[in-house]
Amino acid sequence: MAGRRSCMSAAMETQSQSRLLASVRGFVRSLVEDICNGRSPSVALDRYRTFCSDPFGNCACSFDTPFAKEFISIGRQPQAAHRLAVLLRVLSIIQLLLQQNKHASKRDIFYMDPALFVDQAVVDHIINDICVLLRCSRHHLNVVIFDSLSLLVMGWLRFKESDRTISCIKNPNTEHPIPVCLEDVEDMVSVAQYILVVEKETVFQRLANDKFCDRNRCIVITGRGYPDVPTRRFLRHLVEHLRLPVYGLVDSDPYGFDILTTYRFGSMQMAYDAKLMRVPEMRWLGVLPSDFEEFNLPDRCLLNLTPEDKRKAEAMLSRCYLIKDAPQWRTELEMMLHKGVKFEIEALSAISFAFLSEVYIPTKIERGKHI
Amino acid sequence: MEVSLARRLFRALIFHSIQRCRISETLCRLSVSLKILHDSNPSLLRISISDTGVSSSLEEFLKLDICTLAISSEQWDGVLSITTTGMNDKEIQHFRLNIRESTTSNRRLIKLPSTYKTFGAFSGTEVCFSTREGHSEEFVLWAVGFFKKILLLKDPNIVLELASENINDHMSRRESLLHENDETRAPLSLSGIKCMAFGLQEYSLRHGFTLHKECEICSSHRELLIEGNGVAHNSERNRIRDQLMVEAVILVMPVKLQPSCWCWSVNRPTTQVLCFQDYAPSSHLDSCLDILSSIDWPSFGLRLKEASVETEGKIAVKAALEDLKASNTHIFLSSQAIKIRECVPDLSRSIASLILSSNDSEFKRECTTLLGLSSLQSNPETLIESCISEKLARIIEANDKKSKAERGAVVAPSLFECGNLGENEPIDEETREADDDYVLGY
Repeated sequence: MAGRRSCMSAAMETQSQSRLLASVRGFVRSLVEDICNGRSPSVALDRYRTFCSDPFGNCACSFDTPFAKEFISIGRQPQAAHRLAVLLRVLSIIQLLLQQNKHASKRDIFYMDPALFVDQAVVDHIINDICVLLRCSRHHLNVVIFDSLSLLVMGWLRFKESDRTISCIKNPNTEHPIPVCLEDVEDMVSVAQYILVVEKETVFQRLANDKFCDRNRCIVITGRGYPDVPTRRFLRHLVEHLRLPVYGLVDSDPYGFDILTTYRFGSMQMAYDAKLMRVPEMRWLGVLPSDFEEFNLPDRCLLNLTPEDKRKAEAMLSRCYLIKDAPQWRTELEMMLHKGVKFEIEALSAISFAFLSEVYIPTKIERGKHI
Repeated sequence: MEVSLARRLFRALIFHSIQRCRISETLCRLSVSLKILHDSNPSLLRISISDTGVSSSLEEFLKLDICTLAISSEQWDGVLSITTTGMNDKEIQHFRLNIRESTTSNRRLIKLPSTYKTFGAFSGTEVCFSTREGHSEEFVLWAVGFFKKILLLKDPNIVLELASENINDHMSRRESLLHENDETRAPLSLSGIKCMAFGLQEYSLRHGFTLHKECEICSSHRELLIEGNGVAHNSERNRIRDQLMVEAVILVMPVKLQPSCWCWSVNRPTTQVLCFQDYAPSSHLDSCLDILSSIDWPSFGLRLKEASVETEGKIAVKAALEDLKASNTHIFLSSQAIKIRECVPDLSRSIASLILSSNDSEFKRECTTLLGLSSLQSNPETLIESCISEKLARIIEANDKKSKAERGAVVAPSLFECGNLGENEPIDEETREADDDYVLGY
């Protein structure tokens, strides 16, 4: 993985690895001391959250401050003892990755001891715990995702990845895979006017097929449903470096709304890293429940909310960050619940196939119809 | 199937005989003679129980209640012949009592002519009765088993004799039913509950006294037997004389260490419960099982299968279990601790890997020094792993001791499976000294 990186970033990365390895050794040393002194080996982990259900918005939720501390030890609970065993096993694998400067996916890690790990989700959770323990992000541990080729970007953008130049701008409607390892990205240049985040790959392909980027100087990106770590990191990188406004385009249903909140506020599962992966500048372009009347959308495009949809929407209404930071989003969600209907982006084709690319998106951006 | 009258009467009479011996506080002999007169049809069984304890107060016989109404007169005429004398008495008294007379309050002892003592000073009581229940040989076998349980208690002051005599027109043959080895003495240094534990151990090594001597294979594994003792007192009683004391002994032969003995393949290992009251085998097995059912077995890493109190009994059994656990924590971990211990190999392997795979030699030296390992030249990973495993196991045992009232898990190893002892006869006995002994044997 030899790349022509600047001396600065290479030195910083080496320093980061040394710091992490020192943290691992310190942790192991304290475990050994506890064991030799007859004390239960244990680990204390900060617990973070991105939201709670405080109805008045007076809670202390913060994106960079833990709200609790959890202790895992072999004291009295078999589940905790097993969890500690899994954590130490994953930690020993990560120590090897860092020392040998190699990378592995969580699937690679799982298959090193499937009998102990039982499920890949277990490895995923434990990696999160180790990030909290060592105060770092997942990519610092050399844990990567190798199977994200379908996560796509296109538009008025050019950057270098390792020793290759990715020139999206040459053909702005041609899709490119999102870089997996953000540390390999350099020299990002863009003349776009905004960033458009699209929930679905089908919508992304529709825009590409309509040559959307020929007439709209923008960058289009899709995380294909709930966004994974590389997508969120890449998006944050774009926003930070290019200083462009960023708009979200999701289905008008609870599922799409939840995906939108993940981009803007971060997920609960990776709350410890929310400040590094959330994009608070994200604005909701569509589809808004209030767009039904605004654009005179035909009734045949509307679907009834299922009982599960309603339960999900009601649960999301109580999230504290909607009350504190996104009251307009909350109003739209209430409207969705009140009307009892949902709407998919593809349904806009009922008006005309090019309606989305030629009318809906340009109009809403031009008129500032986003919240 | 109607419960045998002879057995119930026999049990009650033995019980009182033992109490008279214990009250005397001197060396006593309890002798039982079983005469079978084969010329009768069915055969007549004459039972004689004599002891050299204190003289009888006779009250015990007047209060015998054995549900006699259901017994036909052909089987038993209801008559007890009683002979008793005290140490300071000048004569030996003879009585005749008919228990078939309506109720206990109306019974009347018929006093027969006394016999004057012409030699020495002695005390004792003899009770005789005859029965035609049939199957006299079965009764003899049952009586032998009953007496062997009494032998288990190893009371140093009571010598037991059990003999049968078969009589017909032509000859009379007498046979001692307790073998010489049956009366091995416990070491004189032992006393109280330790005597009972010793007897229980012998009972186990001789497979419930079905063998005349200790099983050779089992004896060679004697050191594997695990013993726990517990005692509980009821201090609520006013007078010392009425103090209630419960003793419990638990003897365990670990299943994993079961010797390959032919006896075990025939008699599958089960848990046996022996219940005693006032040094006599008790028929109150139901209350015994109730006490066992109320024990929190999972906190000792055990599970009770199908079984069924008095507070003191439970306290004594639990104290015995705690005694077992204190010296055998590695076996009697709670179910929670057993699950935690299952994580030890993974924990120690990962910690060893984190130490040895580190590229920091100073760190490795530090950790090995902390663990007390000086040289890691051969098999360092195995050495560190086993060292950490051992320390973790000790920590888990210590944590288990400290934990209180753990909620039972379903997956505890199954040790107790109460066998049916086949004797559930309720007898309401007058107890002058309440002294309950509970023995749990394996």
